[in-house]
Amino acid sequence: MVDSTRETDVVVIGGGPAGLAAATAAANEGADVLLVDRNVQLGGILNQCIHDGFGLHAFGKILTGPEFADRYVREALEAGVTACTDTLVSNLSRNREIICTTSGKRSRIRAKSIVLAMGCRERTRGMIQIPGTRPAGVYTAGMAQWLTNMANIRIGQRVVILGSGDIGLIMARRLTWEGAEVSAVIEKLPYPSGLARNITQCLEDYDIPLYLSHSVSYIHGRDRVEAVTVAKVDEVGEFIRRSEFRIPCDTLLLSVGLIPENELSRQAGIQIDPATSGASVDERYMTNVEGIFSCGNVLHIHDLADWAAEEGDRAGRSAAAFALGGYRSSNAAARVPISAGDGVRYVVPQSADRSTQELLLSFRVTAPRDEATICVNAGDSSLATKKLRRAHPASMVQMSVATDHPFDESGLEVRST
Amino acid sequence: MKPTFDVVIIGAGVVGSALARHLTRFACSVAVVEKESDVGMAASARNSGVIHAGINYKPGTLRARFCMEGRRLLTQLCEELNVPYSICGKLVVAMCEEEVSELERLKAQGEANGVPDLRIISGVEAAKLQPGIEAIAALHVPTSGIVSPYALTLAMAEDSAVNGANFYLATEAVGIEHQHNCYAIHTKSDTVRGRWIINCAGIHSGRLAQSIDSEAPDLYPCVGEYLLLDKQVGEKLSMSIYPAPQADGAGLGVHITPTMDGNVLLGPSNEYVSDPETRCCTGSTANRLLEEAKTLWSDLPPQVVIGAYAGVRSKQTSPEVGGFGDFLFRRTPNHPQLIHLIGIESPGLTAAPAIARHIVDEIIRNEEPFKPKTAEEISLRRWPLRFDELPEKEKERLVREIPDHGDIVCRCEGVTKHEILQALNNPLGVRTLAGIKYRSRAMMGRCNGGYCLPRIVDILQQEYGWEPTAFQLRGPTSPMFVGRLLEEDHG
Ligand SMILES: Cc1cc2nc3c(=O)[nH]c(=O)nc-3n(C[C@H](O)[C@H](O)[C@H](O)COP(=O)(O)OP(=O)(O)OC[C@H]3O[C@@H](n4cnc5c(N)ncnc54)[C@H](O)[C@@H]3O)c2cc1C
Ligand SMILES: Cc1cc2nc3c(=O)[nH]c(=O)nc-3n(C[C@H](O)[C@H](O)[C@H](O)COP(=O)(O)OP(=O)(O)OC[C@H]3O[C@@H](n4cnc5c(N)ncnc54)[C@H](O)[C@@H]3O)c2cc1C
Repeated sequence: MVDSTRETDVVVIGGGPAGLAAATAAANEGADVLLVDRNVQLGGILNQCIHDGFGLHAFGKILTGPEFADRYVREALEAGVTACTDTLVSNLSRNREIICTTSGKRSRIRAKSIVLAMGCRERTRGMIQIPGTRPAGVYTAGMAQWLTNMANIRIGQRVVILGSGDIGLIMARRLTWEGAEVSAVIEKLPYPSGLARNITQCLEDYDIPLYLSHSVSYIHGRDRVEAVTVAKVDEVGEFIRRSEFRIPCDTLLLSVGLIPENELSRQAGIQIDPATSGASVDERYMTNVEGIFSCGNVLHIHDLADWAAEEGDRAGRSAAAFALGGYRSSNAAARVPISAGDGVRYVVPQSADRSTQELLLSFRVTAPRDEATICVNAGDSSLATKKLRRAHPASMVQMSVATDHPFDESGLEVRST
Repeated sequence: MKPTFDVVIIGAGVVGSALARHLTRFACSVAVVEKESDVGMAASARNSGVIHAGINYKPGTLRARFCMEGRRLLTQLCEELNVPYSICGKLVVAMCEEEVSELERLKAQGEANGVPDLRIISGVEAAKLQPGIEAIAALHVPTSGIVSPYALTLAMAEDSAVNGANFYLATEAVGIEHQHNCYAIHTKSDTVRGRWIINCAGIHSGRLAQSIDSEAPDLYPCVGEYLLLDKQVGEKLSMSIYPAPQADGAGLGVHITPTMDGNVLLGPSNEYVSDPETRCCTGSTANRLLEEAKTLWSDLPPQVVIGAYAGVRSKQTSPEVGGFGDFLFRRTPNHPQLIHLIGIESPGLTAAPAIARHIVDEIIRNEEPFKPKTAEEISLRRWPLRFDELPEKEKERLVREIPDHGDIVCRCEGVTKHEILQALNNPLGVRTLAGIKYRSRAMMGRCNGGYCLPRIVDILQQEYGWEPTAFQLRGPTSPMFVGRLLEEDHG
């Protein structure tokens, strides 16, 4: 006997801030919404972020991760969202059917529309190929955060952190509080990849040295990490000879980037933008597969949970409209590309309907600079400009564009000069 | 004092495990002494996993003979133990005219060894068999295949444990001594005695043999590094691609090979080293492997590396000499019950089952009337089916029957909680994370355990009451965690 396939208006995959906001928005539009998350608790990555610094943008208040999550969970439940936790979505098809699995039960669900909000995973040692032995004691920073904050486990005594991403910086402070000695944060680029406030609050306040333009050239220790060799790198990332020094440690944390979790999206044939590693979407966050939307870290990496949630809200409303019949699909001829021009690494959305009147663009610059001017151009005309006192790849930039003319056929381009 | 075993095997690589597995089919007492905390952690887990067809070895050598016999026995054994393998074939590609004559030489050599169906095909035909190959010609070897080398080693060892072999893990042999009627194997903590000793300690077999037989040869460690690629690449590769052999090669050259788990391997490099325990990977080699692989297969996409590892070849030939030695089965008139298996380099994985048969059936049983066990006396331990590979209907049924199959712990490899617990409760009593990894494939996928390690920690703490200090990567010397955080520090 096979469970009969269940049907619903909207399925949201992933219950982090993006998924919660999407589910709430869709439910508020009147859709039946099923929110599926593989964790026992809703809230996504926020549950392990027990530090504060959330919510300033969304609620005008400084909250911890779990407090921030609680608000969204409450809103979702009040809006009538059905939450299905401890349940993993293992398959996703183009015709919007998913397979869910939980202890004792595997079931199929068909939805009129789907919102992808699966978040991201961390880049690993394997991906960046750090030379050396293969001992215990090498962890990604997010995993270390879970072990420390959720499992109450002491992972090591003397820690070196490779990569100056925000999670690594926050863990530098967290592990210092727990009595570990954080000997150094090592960053390959000439500038940190985390937010400036985290550099101050997590490193400088605790006298933790940050080595820019350095990387780990070797991991030592057969069974458990014993030391790392650190060396300077040149502009193209090659190690500079004779610049090596050794730092004894028993733990190496990696905070070397996040990757949107798009395995399910690939199963459904969703096109991935190599610049973001997330889906290519249009102005309503719809992917190339009709009725499947994407938002939050699975679409592109956000530095603030507040913004992931805001994007979820937009995607959720689109998904509800699609499910409830109020969605006017734009034909391919009416869509124009939105591209990243000089000085810009990527732009989301990647395309828009020519008749779009209001558009929110999210993007990152390629390199840090003071005094940047961002221009959104359509053909020869400029649609919007914005001056930034400081532009940094670590900070996502958002810009609204409003127009009452259809976009030029050549599409839009965002550049930073 | 421990009993004196009929046979003691030193080293539980694929060779030692095949020996244990075959010996436990007879009424005799068997012990296996292994220095690591689990079996198959040395060369046998760190190779290309290719079932060689037999084209690379000079006719008349032991390598040629045992490769041909081994591949037949290996596939039988895989069927019996449910170990996944595939005879997917391989292409040896020629990029220039000189290399085409190398292909002809290989073909003739293979035919002399009895390898069937060898064909030299055009570059166009090769590209049809495997898109992305840009060669002028290729040798198609349809009888070449792949097997999961660690699954094979573990399956043989676990089957032999269930059938009475005694495993002494984390027990390093430091010397062999002749005592009356038996040999004593001294380990760091203990002594294990046997009437017959088979030394198959891989790279250390030469040195160990020298503790009783000063004439035994030295071995030279020669490391081969690999890169492991994402399954996305595996979907595009249907067979192994090898370069034409280089005249002075101490290996078979950098090749590209699909694995039974759906990934792709690039490698190995070829470098003599001083440390026989090397597991290190170097940055420069990784870059070179990628470059060389790209010339063999232009379809290789960028940025798909998910891991790296290195295995050590047990070479009898010094760096100055290079090339390959032959397998050495050393047995001296002074010590007829002491057999040293030395220099078991490639195709040792393929040959292992045949080497085991030869040693047991043609040497030991010639002199010992060990009675074959009856079918009832044998309890076959089959390697578990992978839940992830079952058809959807079957998955739905199994989840209802075994609820833990509904709980997917490792999402990269689709490993369920039931499979994790099954791996943990293995008959060798191995309780390490690496033990769970090699048995279940959890932590082996593209996220390197980022998702499942926390979940596994959770399960073992909740259901088995493990303390943080109980978690070990590979054994007591590789603790994962230091301890618990103090409550008062918390918050
Ligand atoms: C380790 C880490 C620490 C961070 N710290 C901060 C911080 O301090 N401050 C800050 O502002 N931002 C922080 N961020 C960024 C923050 O995560 C994001 O801005 C925000 O949480 C992204 O929300 P999301 O909903 O897209 O993803 P997530 O919060 O990651 O939620 C995704 C959810 O989807 C679920 N899921 C995924 N796949 C499936 C599936 N197949 N089936 C069912 N469920 C699934 C996951 O279990 C998870 O609950 C951090 C990010 C990480 C990775
Ligand atoms: C890079 C590389 C690629 C290869 N590719 C292939 C291939 O594609 N196909 C193929 O057929 N063959 C291949 N081979 C060859 C094959 O891997 C080996 O021949 C085979 O694994 C040897 O098995 P073994 O049991 O002799 O040695 P090992 O697997 O090295 O086992 C020896 C065991 O003895 C233990 N040990 C060592 N010293 C002691 C001691 N003092 N006391 C107790 N225990 C001890 C070790 O811990 C280990 O477990 C390759 C080899 C390498 C290195």
